[in-house]
Amino acid sequence: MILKIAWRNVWRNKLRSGVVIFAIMTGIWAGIFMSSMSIGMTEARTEDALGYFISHIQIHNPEFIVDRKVRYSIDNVENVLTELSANDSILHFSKRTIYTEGILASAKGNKNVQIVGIDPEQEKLVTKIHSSIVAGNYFEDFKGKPACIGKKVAEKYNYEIGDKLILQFQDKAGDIHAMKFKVCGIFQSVNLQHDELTVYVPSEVLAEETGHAEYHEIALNTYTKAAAIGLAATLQQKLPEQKVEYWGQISPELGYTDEMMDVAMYLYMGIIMLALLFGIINTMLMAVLERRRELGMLMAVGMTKPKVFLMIVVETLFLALVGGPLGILIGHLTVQYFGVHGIDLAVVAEGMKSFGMSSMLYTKIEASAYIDIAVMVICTALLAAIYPARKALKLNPSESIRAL
Amino acid sequence: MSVIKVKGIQKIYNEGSAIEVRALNGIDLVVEKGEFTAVVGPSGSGKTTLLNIIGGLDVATQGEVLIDGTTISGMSENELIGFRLNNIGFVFQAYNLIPVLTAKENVGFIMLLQKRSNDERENRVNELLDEVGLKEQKNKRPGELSGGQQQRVAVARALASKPKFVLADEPTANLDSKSTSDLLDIMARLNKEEGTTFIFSTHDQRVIDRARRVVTIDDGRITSDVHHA
Repeated sequence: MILKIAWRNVWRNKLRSGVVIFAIMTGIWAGIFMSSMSIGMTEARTEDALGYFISHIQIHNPEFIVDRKVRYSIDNVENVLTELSANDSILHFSKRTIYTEGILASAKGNKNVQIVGIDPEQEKLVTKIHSSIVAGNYFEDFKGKPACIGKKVAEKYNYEIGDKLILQFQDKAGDIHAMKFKVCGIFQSVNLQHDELTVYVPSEVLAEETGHAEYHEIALNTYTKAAAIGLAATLQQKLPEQKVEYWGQISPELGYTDEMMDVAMYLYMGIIMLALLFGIINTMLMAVLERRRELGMLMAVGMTKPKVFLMIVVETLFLALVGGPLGILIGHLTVQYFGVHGIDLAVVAEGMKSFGMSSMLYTKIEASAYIDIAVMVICTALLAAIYPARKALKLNPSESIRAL
Repeated sequence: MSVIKVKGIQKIYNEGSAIEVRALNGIDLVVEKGEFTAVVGPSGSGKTTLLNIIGGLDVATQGEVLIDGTTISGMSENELIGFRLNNIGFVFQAYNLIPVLTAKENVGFIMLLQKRSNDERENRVNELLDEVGLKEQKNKRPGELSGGQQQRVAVARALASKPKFVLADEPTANLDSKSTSDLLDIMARLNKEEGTTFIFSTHDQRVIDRARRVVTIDDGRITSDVHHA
């Protein structure tokens, strides 16, 4: 009977209950949507960072991690490659020659760049640079020494496809080289900083110039970014002379952002729940004070205080249990829709790229978050019920019965 | 056999303060089983206070109240709630039905609190609604009933748990002549047929005329106690 009375009481003042239910629904929807945008943005940033240059795992000479000097190339690289080839968990790997202190010399001035020597076919399997070419091509049908440069660099130094490009660098032996390349492709990834600093060239061309092949980095991909954590540890055991790191170690800010977004969701929801808490308290308090006579009568005829308390709590819970699932459902549908179609933030594309983010935002949220949100809604309703319910208990039946 | 025994009841509000009010000033009253008693007096005379104390809704400053031999004066709030549930029926001036429940649900509500079985409840509710002439309106909510009909539902509710007596605080104050007459007929019949003890507080002459005993209170004292044949 308490459930029946509480449920019917919810609909006694349809407008008031409707407003609270709408507020709960909207609050939860907003929380889910905001969280899904943040999570989607972070996920995309991480995926882009891994997809365009980091990959899942990287292997270096331990010294190279501390001081990215050309002399710290990977020792016994053939052994490392053999180990990687034998591991079934590794989908693809790509070895890279990295001259971090390269100089791009042009008529418009010099620019410090990182010259990355790659095997174009291997690299294609590990990163997405090939798919970010906006002019020219990715090391196809070239004659001479091709290079792929970022769009920003091309614009700043007026490079077009086929233009000559001078790259200077110092090799492992300390010899300085100045090589003439031809721009074969211009790429535009989602990270402006990467695009401005990196020049891709075939590693074999560098080896020909320096007279020896040297590799500073081996990037590899496994099945998922989560699987990379365990695989990195396994590889580290097998390759004790090298430094094996998964993406979260290579770029700790990516891992931190992931964790931060989880916390952010609870923060968003917490703030929303706090606002809802006061809204619900206000509504229930009004409901209790309006029904003083009725509550007084219930206590007069023999309804115990715990039952009166329970009735108010259940009534509050019902408000939340109508608004909560509706908010979660609408939130879920919104996340699903924008998870597939995305939100086009083209107007702020440049700004987003400077943070390494794509301008197309796909919403995403873990299924378990809905359960957490549902629990938060119930807890909020329970908390909100306490004060009005206590107020009801303090009513004096004989006075309340005669209340106007 | 006395159902209610009130001995030396005093009720003082704001005791010891400058605005001290003596609502009851040494009331002695005995109500026998099956009585149909009206407590009358002008506004502020102490009628409602007396009924509240007899009904365990208020506590006397001094004196003792015995219901069917049990002293309720020293009971805790929770004990009083349980006592009221099982021993006293209430009819209020403003009907005070639960607006979200139907007439049938309102009548059965107290039996539900008493955890009576569904069958027993169903039978008793139907019987009472029949007696108060509202069988056809049993599925209507209070808002769909007239004032007189609502008060008849309230009487049925008060009787549903077969209380030792029914306290009615100005039950006809909001009713027209016809509704008052119908309600009094019903209560008189229930008093006669079921032996239910009724105590009213009223200053409605129509009620006073139908009462078999009239207790008059003025300034917190009983000034007359008249039994009619």
